[in-house]
Amino acid sequence: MFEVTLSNIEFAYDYNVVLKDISMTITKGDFVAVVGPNGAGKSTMLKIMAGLIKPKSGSVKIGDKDISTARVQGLIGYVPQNYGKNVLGFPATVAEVVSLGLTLGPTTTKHNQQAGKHITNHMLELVGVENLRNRRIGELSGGQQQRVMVAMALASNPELLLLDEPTSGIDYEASARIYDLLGTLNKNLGITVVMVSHDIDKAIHCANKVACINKGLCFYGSSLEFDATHAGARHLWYYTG
Amino acid sequence: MDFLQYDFMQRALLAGIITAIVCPVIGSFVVVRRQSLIGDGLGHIAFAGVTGGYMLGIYPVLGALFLTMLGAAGIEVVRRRHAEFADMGLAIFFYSGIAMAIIFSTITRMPSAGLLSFLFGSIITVSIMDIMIIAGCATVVLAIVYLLFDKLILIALDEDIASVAGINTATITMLFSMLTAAVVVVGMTVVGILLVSALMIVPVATAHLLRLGFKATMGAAVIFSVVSVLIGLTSSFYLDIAPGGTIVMTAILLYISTVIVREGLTLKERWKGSSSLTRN
Repeated sequence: MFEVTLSNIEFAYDYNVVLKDISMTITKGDFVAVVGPNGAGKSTMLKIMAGLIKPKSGSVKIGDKDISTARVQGLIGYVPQNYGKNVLGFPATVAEVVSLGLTLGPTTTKHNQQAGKHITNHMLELVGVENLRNRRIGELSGGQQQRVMVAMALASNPELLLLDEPTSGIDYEASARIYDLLGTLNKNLGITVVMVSHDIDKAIHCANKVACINKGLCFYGSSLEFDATHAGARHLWYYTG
Repeated sequence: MDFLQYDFMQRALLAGIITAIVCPVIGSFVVVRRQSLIGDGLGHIAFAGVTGGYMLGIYPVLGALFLTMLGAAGIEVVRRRHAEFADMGLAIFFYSGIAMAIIFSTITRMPSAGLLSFLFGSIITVSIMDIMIIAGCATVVLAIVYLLFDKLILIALDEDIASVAGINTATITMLFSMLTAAVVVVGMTVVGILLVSALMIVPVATAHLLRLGFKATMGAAVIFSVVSVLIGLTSSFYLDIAPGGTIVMTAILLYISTVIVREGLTLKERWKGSSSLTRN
């Protein structure tokens, strides 16, 4: 059974403690919205889950594999927050970028060009950017770029999709479309999604679980419970870690 | 085409064409990694390698290859450890290279004609040994780029995404630095140390203006580069000017011409659009 387990995660930059004693279990098909104030450690936690940084103590397991020791190639699709600085002016078409995702998986479909093309086309259709396939990624709007990056992450057929502020710097309508897309991917394809977001209202609308972080884990439970218990006073949770 | 009857010109053309292919292939990745000046830094280290090799009695191109690869590894280590000051690290290696070159060339009293041929390129000094080194390096560089093509693009796009996917980004970026160093040494013989970086960057910049995909941009850059080398070497022969200058000026003129054509086409499109609006 696919499950992501964080056990007693602690992390500090020098002496500045960013995360302390974070434990949570994410089950297959969950859509977890990670919320909290600036500097609370949300992105750090996502990077630890992605295996990009090692926690000071504690462990992250995907199934029975500890990500600090076992290769989990292809299991995780990751869309970082600050890819935009590289994408600007990057001379690759949308189709080229999405097809890069094929190299991310455990079994490369690159050798079979027909299969690769088919997957790329399917991913482009899935995120609704098939009409942009020959445009250069740097020429697209922020919302369109985000869809392309999600399509690239999906091309490796991951079990777990990690997204860091996917609607940051994107207008209201484009943000709504990104949330709709992620909700659809989660419901229809059963992909487990963990998404860091500042927009609590929209995030809890499409997520089934909420993890509220401010150094420690302030709340982890269903989004309905979070909404019912803390409606109108969600900000309080930011200061109770 | 009477210049082709000369052996030295045949060698220069062969070396030039190999250089023209391999420089923009590496340059395509260097540009998107925002490291356009790395070729300059490595070029100065190569100069130290040439003079150091001469001092120690080693074939200068081999001396340059050894020291430039060492320098490239150092630059990559500094870039990884101090990403926020990566350009400062490059500058320190740049100055170290030129300082060592001055010291080595002064100690050995290296003849100025030899120094100038390495600095500005030369069509008469390309030897069979040079061609063998150039062809060997180019084959290795092109083979590795072919094998790692998608991984190199992905790392250039976002190193974190590549790392999460299980790609060993540290090893691949270090290997890429070594390839860049090899290309600098390959290009040094023909274009010269001072301008080898230009052949890695200018044809790629021209190709970017065409707004194509990554592979097509790389292909167009190779075409611009080969045209620059062919015109540059021919004019170098007839005008008796060092090839570094003529090759790079041709590449820059191609860039300027492409900018003018592109702007002209954009204006034409705008004019068409505005006149059709007026008619409606």
